Parts: sequence; C-alpha cells; structure tokens
Amino acid sequence: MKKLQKKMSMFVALGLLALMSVGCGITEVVVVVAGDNNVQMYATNLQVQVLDVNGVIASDETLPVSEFAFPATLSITPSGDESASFRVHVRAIFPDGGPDMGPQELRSTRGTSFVAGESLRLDIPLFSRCRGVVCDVGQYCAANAQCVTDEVDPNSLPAWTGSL
Amino acid sequence: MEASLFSRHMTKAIATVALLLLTSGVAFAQESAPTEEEIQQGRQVFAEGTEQARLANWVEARDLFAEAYELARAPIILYNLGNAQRNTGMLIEALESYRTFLSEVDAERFEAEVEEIRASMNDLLAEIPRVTISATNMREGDSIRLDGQDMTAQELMSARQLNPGEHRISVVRDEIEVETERFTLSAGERNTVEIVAPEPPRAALPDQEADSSRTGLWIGLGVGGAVAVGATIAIILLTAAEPYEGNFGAGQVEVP
Repeated sequence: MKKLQKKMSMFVALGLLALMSVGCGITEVVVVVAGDNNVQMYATNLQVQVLDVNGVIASDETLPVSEFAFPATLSITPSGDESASFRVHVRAIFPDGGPDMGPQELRSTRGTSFVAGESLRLDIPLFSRCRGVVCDVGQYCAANAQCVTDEVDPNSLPAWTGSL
Repeated sequence: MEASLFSRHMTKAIATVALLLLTSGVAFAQESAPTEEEIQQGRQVFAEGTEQARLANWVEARDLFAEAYELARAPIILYNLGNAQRNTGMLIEALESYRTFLSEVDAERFEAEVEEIRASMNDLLAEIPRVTISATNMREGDSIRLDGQDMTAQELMSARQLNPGEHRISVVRDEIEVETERFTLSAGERNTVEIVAPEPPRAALPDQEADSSRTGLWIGLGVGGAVAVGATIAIILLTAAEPYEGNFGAGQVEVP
C-alpha cells in the first residue's frame, strides 16, 4: 500500500511540475493585418502602432507594402505584466488621386490583453469600403462599414498556431 | 526574356510583314471601321513596334503592337502582337492573338505567316503551364482566388492554363484572404498547387464554473489526464518557447 502511495505521489509531483511548465509557455499576441483585394491592390503604405495600457506608443512603424506581403504579421509580447492590456492601431495609406480615387486612408483599431502563457491570434482585416469612415474612439469600421467596439475579449481570440 | 531562336526568326518575319503593311496600304481590315486617321496612326505605331522588335525590346514592341491593333484593327498586327507576347512570357495571350489572327487574316495574302503560326501552335500549347488547384479544409462560404481573380467551382476541378512566372493563390473568407500561397511556374510545367484553409477562430471558452457533482473517479481520471497532457505540452513549449517573428518590420514588439 505504501509503495502504491509513493508511486501516486511521484505521479502527482510529475504532473504538477508539468502543469507548472505549461504556465511558462510563451505569452504573446500575434497581430494579423489582412486586406481585401482593393486594399492589397491600391494601398501604398501600412502603419502599425502598438500602445500600452496608458496609451503610450510602444512601437510605431510605417512601411511600404512592397516590403512585406499581406497579411502583415507582428508578434506582441509583454515585457512585464503578462496580462497587460494594449491597443493596436492600423492605418492603410492610399496614393493621392490613385486609380480608384477614394479617400486616402483606412483605419482600424483593437484593444485587448495578453493571457499569461498563451499565444493568441488577433485578426485585423481591412475593408476597402471602410475608407474614409471615421469611427469614434474605441470603435472600428467592420465588414459592413458600421462602427463597432474595438475591445476584444482575449478569451475569444483563437490560439496562434504558428502559421497563417 | 532573352531573345531565343524563335524570336530571331520572328524578327525576320516581322520585317516582312511590316514591309507588306507599309507598302500595300490595304492590309488593314475594315471590320470595326477605323477612320483613315486611326489607320495612319496605327501604321506609325506599328512601325515603331517593328523597330523595337528588331532590337529585341519585346515588352516595348508588345505594347506598341497592342496599341497599333487598337487603332487600326488589322488582323495581321495580331501576328506581331502574338510574337511579342510569346517573347514576353504572355503565352496565353499569344495563343489568343494567333487564334484571332488565323480566323480573321487573309490566308492567301499572308500564306507564309499563316503556315508558320499553324506549325507553331502545338509547340505554344505545350509551353503553356497547367496547374491543378487542390484546396482542402474549406468551410462554407470560403472561395479561392487566383492572381486576384475568383475561381469558379468548375475551374477548381480542372487543370488551368497559366503563364510562366509567379502566381498567388488565396483562400477568401468573409472577403478577406485568410491564407495565401505563392508559386512559380516555368514553361511547359504541369503542377498541382495545394492550399489548406485555416481553422476558423475558436469559440469563446465555456464558463469555467466548477461542477461540484464530479465524483472521485472523474477527479482521478482528470488528474491523470492533466499529468499526461501537461507533460506533453510542457515538452512542446519548452522546446519551442520563442515569440513568433512576423513579417512587418522587426516582426516583434514588446509592450511595457
């Protein structure tokens, strides 16, 4: 009986160790910025800003679309609090007087949080019909060109599988 | 594209046709009734295209021949246009130009050109790459887009002709390209391109309220399962615990 108890204790200890290790998995949110056909065809530059919970810009980069392939991907990791909130602002820039003659930019935003030990995927699709649509702060222009809240429950985010 | 034996041969032929065109004054078909001014402009542009073809500047020649055909609508221009298209890798367009040329040109007047095109049609057909698309894991509403064009179900089921070069295929879900593959085809290649549609986003996690009615047996099984799953996941995570590197800028950002 004692032998059995000892074995059980070992199994439990191993299990706990393993479960603790799971908690040490990478904490990140991979942002995937896709665009519909017109966005991919006509946008010339893409700007991606990442802001911390206080609204301070942690990263701000604008690149010509020729320097990456849609969808643009960016991994965001916490340097401290593993459940920190953050925001992502995306802006697609179109040429002045281009062949489609639409407004010159298209914006989209999201706010969410990390989940400790989880690698999650945050999709930010850009819809050309949202060009020129100005939403209130805390909202973004959805597929139907209507403004909806940009707060995303991290528990609703799919796991990042490592590829698109 | 480099000038090949074919292109050198075509250059000679173009010169012949150009001479015919520029001297006869009657070679332009009147089907779409271009004006005399358009015909004159077409001749001028055609002459410029011929010069570019002679220099093996095939892209410039192709654009000029296309412009000349738009102006004058003379079927014989399609012979030159087809040659230029063929020399710039636009094999499908070249085939179409040749077919129109054969159906519309005065075969007696341009007998040599007609014979030449007829003789080379099979070679051209063999040069055109064909690709079969294999799309798996598709969900209701998903569609396939090839080089920016939506494909029908019929097109998906059969081999498709494409020009040599780079191509792009995507799975479109809710108007967004959610998966993209790029592939390159060389002349005469027959290939199958596979694309796997991604899984849809998972549903929100269920409410994790404890179910107090669990029995000891289930707890035991749960612990045992957790041990096994935890150990497996731990091994995976410990061997691959690196943030993903995206394709935008540095690919990674740290948030304080």
